[in-house]
Amino acid sequence: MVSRFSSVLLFFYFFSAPAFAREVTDAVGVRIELSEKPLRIVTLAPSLGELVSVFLGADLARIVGVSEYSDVPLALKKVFSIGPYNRLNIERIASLKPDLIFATTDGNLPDQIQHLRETGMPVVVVNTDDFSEIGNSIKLVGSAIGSPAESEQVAKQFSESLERFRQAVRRRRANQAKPRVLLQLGDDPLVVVGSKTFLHHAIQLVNAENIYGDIKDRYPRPSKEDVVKRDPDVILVLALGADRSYFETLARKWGGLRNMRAVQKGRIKVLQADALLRPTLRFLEGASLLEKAIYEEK
Amino acid sequence: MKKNSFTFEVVLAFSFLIVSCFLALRFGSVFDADSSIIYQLRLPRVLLAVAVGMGLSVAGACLQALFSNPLCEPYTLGISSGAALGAVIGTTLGGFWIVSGLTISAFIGALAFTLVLYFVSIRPGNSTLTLLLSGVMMGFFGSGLVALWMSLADSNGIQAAVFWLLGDLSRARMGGAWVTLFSSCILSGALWLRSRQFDALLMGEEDAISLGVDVSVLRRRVIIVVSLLVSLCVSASGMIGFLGLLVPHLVRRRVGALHGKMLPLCAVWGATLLVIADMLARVSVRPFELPVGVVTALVGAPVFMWILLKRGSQV
Repeated sequence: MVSRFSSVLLFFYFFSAPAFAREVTDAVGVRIELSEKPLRIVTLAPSLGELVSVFLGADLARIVGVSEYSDVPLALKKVFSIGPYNRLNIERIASLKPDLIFATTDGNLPDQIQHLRETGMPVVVVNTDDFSEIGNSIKLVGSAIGSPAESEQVAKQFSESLERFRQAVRRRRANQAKPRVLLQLGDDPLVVVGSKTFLHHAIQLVNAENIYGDIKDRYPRPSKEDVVKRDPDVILVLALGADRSYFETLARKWGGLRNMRAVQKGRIKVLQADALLRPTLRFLEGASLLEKAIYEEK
Repeated sequence: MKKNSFTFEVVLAFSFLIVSCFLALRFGSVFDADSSIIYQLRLPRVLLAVAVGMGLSVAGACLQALFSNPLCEPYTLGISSGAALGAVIGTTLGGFWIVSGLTISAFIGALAFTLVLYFVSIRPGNSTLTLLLSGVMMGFFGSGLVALWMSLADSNGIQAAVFWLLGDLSRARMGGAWVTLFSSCILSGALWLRSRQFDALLMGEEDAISLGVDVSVLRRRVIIVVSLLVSLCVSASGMIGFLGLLVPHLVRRRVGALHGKMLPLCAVWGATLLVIADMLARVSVRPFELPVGVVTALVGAPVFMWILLKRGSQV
């Protein structure tokens, strides 16, 4: 009887042992079954490629596919491309047979994520809309990869450095008036930063005010007239990549509007934002550049 | 002009369709596709391309006959603008509006516009021209609303909407593709049953009436069926331009203008051309994918011009 019982137990042990060792719940509340150590990882946004690389270290070969323009670390440039983040090539993703895919709510299209899930691929979606979400995304990415302890540590490091930076800014800027800032992402149509993105929180972090903080979208597109009416103290054109000349042209375009405070004081500049735009550990680097640009330090 | 025998034409068209489907399953964004990629990703796309290509071409041919106007195409009546409006609103509000690859909000938008057209068509005394012009106006109105919505909505959602507006088969899922194919066959078949009445219309509206065709009833019914067909195609794949204009003209040159022969061939050739166009969209710029509407317009327009200039004479 006992032996029979134990053989039944044994049977269950071998045959019901889950093929998937663990489950994570992602930022949109979906539970995903993952293997103990995913070896074929695909990242659907440049920032995700960067964050995953932080955890993988030298083990970068576990990333088998990245979105276009993934260039940090440089080795990702040579990895198989699955198309741009806003128009993923689902067939190329499927051909990689990934055992873990990272997607973001800030850029990837919900229907494409749905499509990937319907074809049976394990997609973990992260959210980076504010600092606590960035912290959560770090933990989520780390634990999905299979290094939860390390990810707790990195997330803690992120939130502690963030807090230190916040305090330092507060001390440095205690007696200064809050500058009112416009972050310009695009031109024609003008794209700015609304309150539903971490860039809005970055402006607040450096003791400044986002003139479009009242708009609850991620990236609203106001008219130039509205910008003139709101009259920011500082206009920063966010530049990406090595070639700044295009962004310099955008900054000069404001020059004709002489009634604006920012134009009168000559406080329209190009800010190299490669680090700022990444909701990863590099973000604080970007935030300190943002602070310097807003307060005009050399 | 001597026409080839109808049987020959049917066999030719079907062989092209089969070959193009085979090629489309064989080639894609990656070289070494296994059976799961072919079955889960490529097959739904091919089925959807067949369904939409067929639907748009048949719809185009019927509208050209109904309005005796060679410039008519599936989007002339503005139904597609209603669909676009629905899709743009749906995609910017979130992904919940897409069921099995079919954009439900687009279908609702198209039905709303169809309803207006239907009321125009049942008002006694309204001529066919009134109906045509109302459709065109609704199209402009719809495009205006689309532009209005897009300039107010958040950038993230707009990217999805822009791809939708360019025509795109990459959302295809198995379930949605079969539904579209099945409905497209039924609606095209319903239009084919009216072939004789379309033929009568070729001689002009008054001659058709004297031949016993109740033009106003025909108009009403055809508007409903064509609108359903266009709504279905547009909500599955967005605005794939040019196909509905090009295919009926090509087919008319091969088998003449009688609809009994022409409509089935329109269906097959439309399907074939869209399958090929979608394959080109997938393979031409790896790892990117072109919206299929770009391919149909870029390849279709020069080909159409070439045929026109080569053969000259009548359209």
